[in-house]
Amino acid sequence: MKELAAAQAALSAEHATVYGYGVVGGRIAGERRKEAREAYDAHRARRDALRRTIRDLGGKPEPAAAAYALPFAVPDGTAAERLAAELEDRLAGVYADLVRASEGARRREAAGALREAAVRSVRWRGTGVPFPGLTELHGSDQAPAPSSSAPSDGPGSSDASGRPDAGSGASGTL
Amino acid sequence: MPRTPSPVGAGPPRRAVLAGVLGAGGALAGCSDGSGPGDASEAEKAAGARALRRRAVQQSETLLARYDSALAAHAALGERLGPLRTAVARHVQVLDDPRGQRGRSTPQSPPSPSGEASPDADVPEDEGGALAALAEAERRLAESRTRSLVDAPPELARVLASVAAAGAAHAYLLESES
Repeated sequence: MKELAAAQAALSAEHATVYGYGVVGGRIAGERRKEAREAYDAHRARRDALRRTIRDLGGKPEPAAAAYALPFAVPDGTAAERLAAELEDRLAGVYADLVRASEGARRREAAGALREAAVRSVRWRGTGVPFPGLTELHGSDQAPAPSSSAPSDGPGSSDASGRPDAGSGASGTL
Repeated sequence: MPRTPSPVGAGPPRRAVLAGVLGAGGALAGCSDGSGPGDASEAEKAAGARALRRRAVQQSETLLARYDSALAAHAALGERLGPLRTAVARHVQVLDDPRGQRGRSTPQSPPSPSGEASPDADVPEDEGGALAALAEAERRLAESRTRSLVDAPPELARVLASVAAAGAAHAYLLESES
């Protein structure tokens, strides 16, 4: 069951990331927008793979929330890139936990997802951390640092490209 | 891109690591519980985990030496390589002594790891080549670690996966434009 819980946590994070990249894609242009689109597609694929894993483990995949509260305001491309990096950092953490909880091919898969998250984080931010996903080893680096001003950029205000329709109902924290 | 002969990350996985998949979670943290006499299987797992960790330390030390050689040959790369070298030194520290109990400082001198080629001879003369060679070394080591972590006890696997991810990110940074 430990592996199932870790896989559900990874799925939840992928749901949030897919949503988040929808927001990111609406705030940036050009080459960066293309990168965001590629990341969006890659995370959808990871999400679908995790759903299969969870079913294989005898679980029921958690659904996505209808909408997510952003951790800080995302009014422009700079903030969008910071959000993308943050999303990848969080994913690195849940995949590191999934590596610990799994074995064999599934562990290798989780390690691959951790590696992708670390590389994407560096692409967005320009710098990395020594231990991606291991928050206990870089404590203060992980502060979410909400932007100083800014009423929260509610999910309704995004013109996200291709994100799932946020109709009604529950919202999650991104 | 020049390929370098130095076998960072190369070589077959140690047989000993076959032992440790389950139950040796304390090994990374240095626990010796459960490896007492009469418990051969646990002892084997702990020994496998120790061998795996030792090898991971040596590989990171070899990589660190490559950074030092590159920096010695190309001082102008200092600003670019400095943060990456610091991260690799942290990998050595944490892999070697996860809880920091020995108070060991960052290793200063290149080690003499078992049978691995001296990296000094491998630094290309041009900066671009030196960066590419380091990227290649990082990438190969990350791949090697991703293979070996399947045989590691859970917590060591987690750390190895993180360090491999850092290596892949380093390779990206070494190959990017600025």
